[in-house]
Amino acid sequence: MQSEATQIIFLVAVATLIFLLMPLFLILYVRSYMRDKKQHIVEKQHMQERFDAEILKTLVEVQDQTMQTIATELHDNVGQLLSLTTLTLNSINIENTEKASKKIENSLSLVNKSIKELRELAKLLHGEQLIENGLGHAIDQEISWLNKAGTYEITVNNHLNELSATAPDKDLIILRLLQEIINNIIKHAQATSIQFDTYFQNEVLFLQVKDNGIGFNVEEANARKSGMGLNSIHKRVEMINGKIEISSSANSGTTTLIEIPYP
Amino acid sequence: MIKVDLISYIELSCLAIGIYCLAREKKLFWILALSFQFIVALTELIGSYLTFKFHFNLWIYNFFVFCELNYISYGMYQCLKKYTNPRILIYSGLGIIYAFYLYNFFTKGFGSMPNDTINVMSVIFTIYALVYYYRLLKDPEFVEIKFHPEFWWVTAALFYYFGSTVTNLFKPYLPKNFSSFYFLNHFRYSMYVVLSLFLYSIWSYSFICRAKQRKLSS
Repeated sequence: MQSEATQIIFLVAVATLIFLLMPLFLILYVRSYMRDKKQHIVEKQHMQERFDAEILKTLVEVQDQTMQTIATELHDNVGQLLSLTTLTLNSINIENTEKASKKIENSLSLVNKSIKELRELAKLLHGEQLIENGLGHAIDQEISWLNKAGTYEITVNNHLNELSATAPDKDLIILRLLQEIINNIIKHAQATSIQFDTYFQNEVLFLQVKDNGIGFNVEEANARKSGMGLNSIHKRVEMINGKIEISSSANSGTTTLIEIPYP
Repeated sequence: MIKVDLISYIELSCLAIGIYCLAREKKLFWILALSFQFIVALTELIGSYLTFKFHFNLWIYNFFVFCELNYISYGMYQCLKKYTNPRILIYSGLGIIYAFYLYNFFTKGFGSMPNDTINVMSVIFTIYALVYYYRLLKDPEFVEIKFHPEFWWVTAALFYYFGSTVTNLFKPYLPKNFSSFYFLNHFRYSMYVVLSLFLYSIWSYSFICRAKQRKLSS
């Protein structure tokens, strides 16, 4: 009788102990889960900070590029127009009214042209403002400056002007990516024609730039991680969860295709 | 002289810590926690006094079970409310517990211990606590559980109600006065001492956490 009673008590005691251990293990599990969650939140915050820093850097770079374009335009275009205006005005002989009025007319036309150029330049002043009008518009603007120089035969298929979705941070990075690709073509490609294709399909934005330049060894350039700014292009594309594909070989040009989930 | 047992000392210690930590509390949840602790201590003292006077005392414990089922249900509701809408869960649980309690009341009267109600209560409160844990884990927000008063309040309830399930279920089969060892002879009581120690010490800790939380937020 006594041993049976002891057995029951032993069984109940062991079962209770097991039942008490369960909450204990639960606490340990919750503790470790919360620790992982905290780490994940901290990592997410760090990533957000890095993203914000990169956005700021991109903004500065876009503005810097714009300033460079403006400086070049002021020097090569507006400066020349105004110098020509000065020369024309200086050469006016008031006594020869017929010639004078023609020269004044020419000067006026030159000044008007300068004003028009300055207005165009003013539009470029803020990278952010450029983006505010939509990514399609910003891309158009960027390409139109390149076209203006007349150095390249340019084909544009920009289907982003009707894009209703917006993602300002991504827009800024995409614009900077385009600027970097254009810079690379100007500096290294020795191309004569450039084709731009942009379109939006199934919540993915596609940006393709094709040139007929001398091309380069993509693997080698990627391994070098310097010079052409490919590393920075890859990093930026990765940051916005995009994909980049560069296909190039000697003397057959380069095609850069970027796919970005959008918005 | 009235004999105050070990469980009463544990409960009174928890009440003392509660008064120290929650005296200036303005949140209903914690005011009720302190009030419940007061009811616990009062029940034990009245129970002991009635035993001392050789009076029947089960009615006071029966009344205590009524307070307990309402208080724990309210507490669980408040804790779960932060993560989900617990109305259906709590009201269904309360409905089942009330059904058992009222059945016991009408069939056996107020002078008997509602053992079935206590068993059902233990299972339902364990489920509430597990749901709370699940919701806490699923919540995207990070919570520092080390100093989280609600977490420790629920944990105490889980320890007590889940831990007491086996003893409650085997209550009719537990033998008494068969051995020379006090622990074996008073096994059920000893188990409740251990469980009460878990419940009231963890609740005391949750009161301390709450006082700390209030201090930090003021």
